[in-house]
Amino acid sequence: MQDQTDDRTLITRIAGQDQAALRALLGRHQLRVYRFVLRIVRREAVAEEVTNEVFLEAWRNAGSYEARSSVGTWLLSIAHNRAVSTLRRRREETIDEESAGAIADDGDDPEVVAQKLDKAEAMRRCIAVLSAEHRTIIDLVYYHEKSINEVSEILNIPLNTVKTRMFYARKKLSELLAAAGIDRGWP
Amino acid sequence: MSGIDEQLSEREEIEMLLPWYVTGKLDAADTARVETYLQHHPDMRRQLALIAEEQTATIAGNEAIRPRFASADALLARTATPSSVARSWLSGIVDAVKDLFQAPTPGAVRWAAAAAAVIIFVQAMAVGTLLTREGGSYQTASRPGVEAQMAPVAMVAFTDQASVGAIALLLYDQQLRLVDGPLPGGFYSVRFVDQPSPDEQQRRLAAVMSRKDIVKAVLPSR
Repeated sequence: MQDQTDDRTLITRIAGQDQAALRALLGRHQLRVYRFVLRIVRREAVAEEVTNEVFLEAWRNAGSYEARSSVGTWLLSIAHNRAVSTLRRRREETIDEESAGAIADDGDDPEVVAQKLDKAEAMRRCIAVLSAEHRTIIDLVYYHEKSINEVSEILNIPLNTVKTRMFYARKKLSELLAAAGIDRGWP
Repeated sequence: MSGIDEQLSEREEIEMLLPWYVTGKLDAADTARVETYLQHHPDMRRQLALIAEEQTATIAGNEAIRPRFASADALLARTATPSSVARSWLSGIVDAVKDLFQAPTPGAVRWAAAAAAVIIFVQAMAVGTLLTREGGSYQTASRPGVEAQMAPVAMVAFTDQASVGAIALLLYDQQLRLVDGPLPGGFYSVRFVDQPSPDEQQRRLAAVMSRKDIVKAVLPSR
């Protein structure tokens, strides 16, 4: 709660064109925003530019921030919109299950990965080869620790869709792990 | 809808809520609903372990991303205004603590890092002072007048909840600088960046004391 208060103080100061406050905001949120964006756009240079655009948009629109959500959620919402529109603009293919294996696993198929790696590492790699849509929601829930309402706001989807999308992302993850020889007994 | 269908539906609904139950992000009503279900269906508890594994792997995947960001100066140049230039010395402070906030670690680890960050912070302040206030020329601490200016004016203890960013901003607002610490009792020595009048000193220290959310105690040292 204290961090949220501090964040809102920073946004107020940014609305007053205080660059030091923007630096502080960068210090707090830049890495998380960058990681979120990179897991969508998959290219470091693109992710860095999109991240810069997120904070520039925050700089320009700080005055219209209404504190209905946390600053972190607000920034991730901007980041999601920017990342998705960047993908569309560049006509890049998002990583999906069919194409990801060759990129994410250094040429190994899931079974080989499972033999070479421990379960945790295998799971990390399977998460990496989920569709962008599924990986994004898993990141938001598990890494960014966003609530159902916050995920709904960031992705601009209904609450029930948040729940079902997360459910099917987890199911897909279990299927990928099963294909890699790791049976979790679910679903 | 049959009883079995209803049971499956309820089970699926609970399953859908479990990730947020594990991360502690469910509201009170849904939390109670999940816990009631778990009491009557202990087999569902196995899901909690699976979700914990998924969360651990997700965090590891994210934390494996360790970029070295280019200087923020290029970004800030796109936002520059004349009034902001005068405040740019704060950037050194915030850069010094930036890594602390970037690390999404549990609170205990974050505060362990805070001790190191404060040392960096003090060093950055000292270097920043020499560079910005002395026109970048080299000065020794024995220069006439420096010792008096460097003398601490107060000892400050911060609350456990205070973030390093909040502390940095408070010190910046009141033109204070950490010069030593942590000392016994968790106090830090501070001094003024400038040379305010006694009345102004009192006003600023009162402003510091008024921030009960950040400051636990202030003891004048002279």
